Amino acid sequence: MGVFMQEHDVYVGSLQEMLNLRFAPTAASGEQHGGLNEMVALQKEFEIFRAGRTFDTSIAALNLSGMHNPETKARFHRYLNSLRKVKSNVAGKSGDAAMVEAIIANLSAKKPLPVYFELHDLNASKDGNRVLITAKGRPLFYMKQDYMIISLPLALDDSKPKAKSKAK
Amino acid sequence: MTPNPRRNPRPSDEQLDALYSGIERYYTAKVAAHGATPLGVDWDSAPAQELRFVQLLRVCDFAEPLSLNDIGCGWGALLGFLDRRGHTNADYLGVDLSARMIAEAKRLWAGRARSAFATGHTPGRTADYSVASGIFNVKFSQPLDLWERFVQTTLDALHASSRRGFAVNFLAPLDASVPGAPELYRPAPQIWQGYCERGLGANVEVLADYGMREYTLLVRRR
Repeated sequence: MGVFMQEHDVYVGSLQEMLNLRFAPTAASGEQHGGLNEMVALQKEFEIFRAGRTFDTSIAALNLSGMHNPETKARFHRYLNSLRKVKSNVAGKSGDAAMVEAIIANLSAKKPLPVYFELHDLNASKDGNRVLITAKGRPLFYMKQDYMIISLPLALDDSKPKAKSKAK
Repeated sequence: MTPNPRRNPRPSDEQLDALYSGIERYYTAKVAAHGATPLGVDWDSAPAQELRFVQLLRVCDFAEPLSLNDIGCGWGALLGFLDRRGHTNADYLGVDLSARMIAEAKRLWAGRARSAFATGHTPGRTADYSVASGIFNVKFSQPLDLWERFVQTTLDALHASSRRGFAVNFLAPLDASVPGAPELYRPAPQIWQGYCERGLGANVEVLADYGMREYTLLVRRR
């Protein structure tokens, strides 16, 4: 997100957490808002994720883009929108289309998996600037839990700070 | 499991007024902070709010024109949902304790025919159906017995003002080992199902399998 979020980079972790809680495994006994079972029901009733609708639009409907800071929200949406122009590891699909397609298929599967959103450094490899989708994996070493994993490309914002105008 | 009216006598007007004032302050603060949005009525998103409407409206037979009271209507999100689902001729009355919420509702829905909003806790009219979404969930620091008397009083009023039936929802109980948030009210379904069946003489259907840790009671007159 770097160049998109800039000084709002401090919120990247909490935005990521909001996504991960919304798609989290449903706890059998605990107090929990959202979670996979709810997402499956919401998708079935309202088709929140839909072919031709951007991931960004669906995330906005779910109120997952930061509730309190309008600038953070706007920057996050700009970042998510940019994923329409980013490739993915799904042949012929943009990052955005690949995510939407994978989530639709997962939520309508017989045994849907929770979805884990993680981040990778887009500069770490030649083809790093892609959305990476893994149909099944264990992203959290401390949990015996399969997830569908969506990894979003992110880079350090190393643009030079704007020079201060000199006082005349 | 049915609440015992003798053990739980009707709350005094003063007790209920104090309880209503607390609810009114809470939701007025919500709408003041977030406006006419799901957060403004304490839901996290529109789809989550509307999935509850889907369940509650199962009590209604939309094959014929109908009238509907919406208790704890907030800024009238249910009215927009009814319209989007094509039920544009439902005769709708929304009631809420918060005057600020009702002011938002009146502003939003000024052009909608067959709709009205009023401040208060009872509808003041009899309709074919009544619904109430989420109004029993946040108990604040009220004693359990007073909150249950509030629930019972409200169910009585919903029954009395509904010709055909009403629907309400509740948070589902957690496992006994899980310490839940003390301000939330999570009764076992049998408690109020039993009250509506035996106390109100109604038929009750419990909807529970809709992806949320809660349930909806559809209460129909026999």
